[in-house]
Amino acid sequence: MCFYIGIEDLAANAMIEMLKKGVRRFLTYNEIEMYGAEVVQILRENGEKAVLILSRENTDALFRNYSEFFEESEQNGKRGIKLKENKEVEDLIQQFRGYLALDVLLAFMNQRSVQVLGA
Amino acid sequence: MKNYKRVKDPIYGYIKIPVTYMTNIVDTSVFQRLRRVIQTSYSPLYSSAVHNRFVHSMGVFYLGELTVNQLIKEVRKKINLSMDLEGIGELFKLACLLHDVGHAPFSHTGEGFYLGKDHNYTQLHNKLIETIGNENFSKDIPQDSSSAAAPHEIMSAIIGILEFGLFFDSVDQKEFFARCITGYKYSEGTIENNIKNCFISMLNSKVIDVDKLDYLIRDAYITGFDTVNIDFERLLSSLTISKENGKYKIAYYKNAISVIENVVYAHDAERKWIQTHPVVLYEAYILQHIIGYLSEKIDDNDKKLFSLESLSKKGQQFKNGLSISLLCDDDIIYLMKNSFYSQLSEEFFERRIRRHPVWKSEAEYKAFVLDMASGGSLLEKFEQAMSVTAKYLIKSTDSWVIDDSLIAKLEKEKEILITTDMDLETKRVQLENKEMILKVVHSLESYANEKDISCNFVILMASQFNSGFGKPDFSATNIAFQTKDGEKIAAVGNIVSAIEAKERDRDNFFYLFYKRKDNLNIDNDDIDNQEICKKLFKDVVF
Repeated sequence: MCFYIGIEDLAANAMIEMLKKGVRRFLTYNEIEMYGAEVVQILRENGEKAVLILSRENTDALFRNYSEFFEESEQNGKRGIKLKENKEVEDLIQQFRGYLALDVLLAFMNQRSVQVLGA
Repeated sequence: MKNYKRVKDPIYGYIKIPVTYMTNIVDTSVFQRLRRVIQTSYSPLYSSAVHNRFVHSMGVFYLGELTVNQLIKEVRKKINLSMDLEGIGELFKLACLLHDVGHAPFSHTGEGFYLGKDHNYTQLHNKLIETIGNENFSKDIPQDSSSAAAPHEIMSAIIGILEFGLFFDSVDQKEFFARCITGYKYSEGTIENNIKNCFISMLNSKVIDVDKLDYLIRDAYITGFDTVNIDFERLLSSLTISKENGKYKIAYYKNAISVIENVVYAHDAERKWIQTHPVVLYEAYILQHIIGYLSEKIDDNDKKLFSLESLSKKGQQFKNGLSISLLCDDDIIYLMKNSFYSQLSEEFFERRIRRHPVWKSEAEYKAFVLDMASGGSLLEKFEQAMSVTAKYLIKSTDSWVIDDSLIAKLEKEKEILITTDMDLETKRVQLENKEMILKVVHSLESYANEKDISCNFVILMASQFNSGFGKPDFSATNIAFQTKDGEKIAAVGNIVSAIEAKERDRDNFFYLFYKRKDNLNIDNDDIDNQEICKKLFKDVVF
C-alpha cells in the first residue's frame, strides 16, 4: 500500500491545523514540506508507505484548481501559500478532509506533524 | 564541405542541423534513445499518434532557431549591449535540441520515479549542481520541491552536460544551458541576466514557449485532430522584448494577436478532447501502475530502474542478471511482457479486456443525467459524491479499483472513525463523505450483481493531467503596439478574449469505467450506459 499525498492535501491540512489554533493564514513552502515529511514518517511508523507529490507543475495546478482558496504570497522574503480572506477553517475541512483515507487524516492531525508547523 | 545536414520534417519542411550537432549529438545512442520514447499516450484514441521525443526535439530545435534569430535582432534594436548574443543564442538552440534527452519511458508517466526516497528532489538537484560545477547556481535552485522543475527537465540538463561536454567552454555556459531546460531563472538583476532570462522563458515557462508550440502543432498534425492552424512563423517573427518594472520580458508585436488566440484555442481543444479523453486517461493510468509495479520489483537498495545510470549507454546490472541501458519504452514493454507479467500487463496488451468508460465525454454524461437533473443542487450532490470517490481512489495504490475488498475497507474505516477522537467538524465531514463514497460503491456493486457482471469499476479525474500552461501568467504577456512616439504596451489578458475561458471547469470532471463480461463478442451490449448512470444518480442523490 502506498498513499500519494499532493500539495493541495498538505497545504490545506497544514492550514486547517494552524487555523484551529488561530495562528496564521500563510505557510511557507518549506513549512508545508516539513509538515509533509513528518506525515510520511508517521505513516511509515504505522506500516504504511506514502510519497509526497510535489513539483512546480503540481503547485501551479493547485493555484489553478483551487484559486478560490489559495494564492501564492511572500512574507519576510519567503514564498508560500496564503488562504484567501473569505475562506475559513470550515471551508477547508469541507473541501479537503472528506475524501482522505483515515490513516492519512490521522497522520495530518497527529501532534508531531502539527508541532513541525510551530503551532 | 557542408556545414549543415537537412532533415525533412512533415510540419516545418527541411530542418537544418549543424553537422557537428548531427555527428556528436543526434547520431549518438543517448540521443537516438528518444526515438523509442513515445511522445504522448494518445495512441489508443488516435492510432497514428506514435510520434516520439526524437522528432519533437528536432522540431523544438527548429523553432528555437527562429526564436534566436528574431530575439537577437530585437534585443540589438532596443538595447545597447556588448554581450555575446550569438553565443547565448547557440546555447539556447543546444538546450532546445537536448531539452528532452533525459525523458523517462512513456513520457510523463514514469518521470516521478527519477526522484529520491519520498519523492525528494535533493539528490537530483545536487547532481545537477555537481555536473555544472558552480556552487553559485545553487542559490537559484528552489529549496522547496513545490517550486522544482519536472524531474525529466533536471535529468535532461544533467545528461546534456555530461554526455555532450565538448559543446561547453565554461561553467557559465553549462549553467545557462541547464537554466534554459529547467526554467530556473537568474535572480541576480544584471541586464545580461535579464536578457538571458528572456531566452530561458522561450524554452521553459508557463506561457508560450517553443516546447509547447511544437507539441501543440505536432500532436494535432500527427493525430489528425481538427484544430486551428498555428502560424508559428508569424508568431515568432513578432517576438520582441518590453520593459516592465525596470526589467525586460518577452513580448509580441500586435501582428501576433490572432496567432496567440489560436494558441490558446489549440491548447484548450487538445486538453479537452484528447488529453482528458477517458481512453487516454486510462492508458496513462494503467501505465503508471505498471511502472510503479516494475520499479518496486526491480529497484534494489541504491540501484533504481529510473535513474541516470539506466539512461546511460553503459547501463547497470540489477539482481537476477537483469541488465538495463539506454532505458526506453522497449525495455518497459519487455519487462512487463516477459519478466514481471501482471494483470495490468494483460490489460495493456489485450486491449479488449480493458475497462470501458460509461460515458466518453462531458456532453454524453450530460445527456444521460439531463432528464434527472438539469442542474442545481441534485446534480451538485451527485457530482460531489463521484468526485470524492475518485479522489479517495486515486490517492492510494491498493484501492484504485471499486471491488468487494474496497467496500470492506471503507466499511471498516467508517467503523473506526466513529470511535476515533477528533474535532467534531472533521469527524462530521469524514462521516458524510464516507457515506457518500459508500453509496457510490454500493450502487455499483448492486448494479453489477443485477447485470451479472463483475463488481470491478474505476473512477478517474480529468485533472490528473498537467499541461504546464498557466493562463494567469499568459494573461500578463505584453503586446507591443507601435506608435509615433515609440510603443504602447498592453497585457494579453486585457485585449484577447480567448484568455477568459476558465481552465478548471473540465479539470474537475470524472469518468466511470467498468469491466466488460469475459469473452464478450458483441458490441457494447453488456450494459446500458444510460441505465447505470440513472441508477447511480438515484442511489446517490435520493
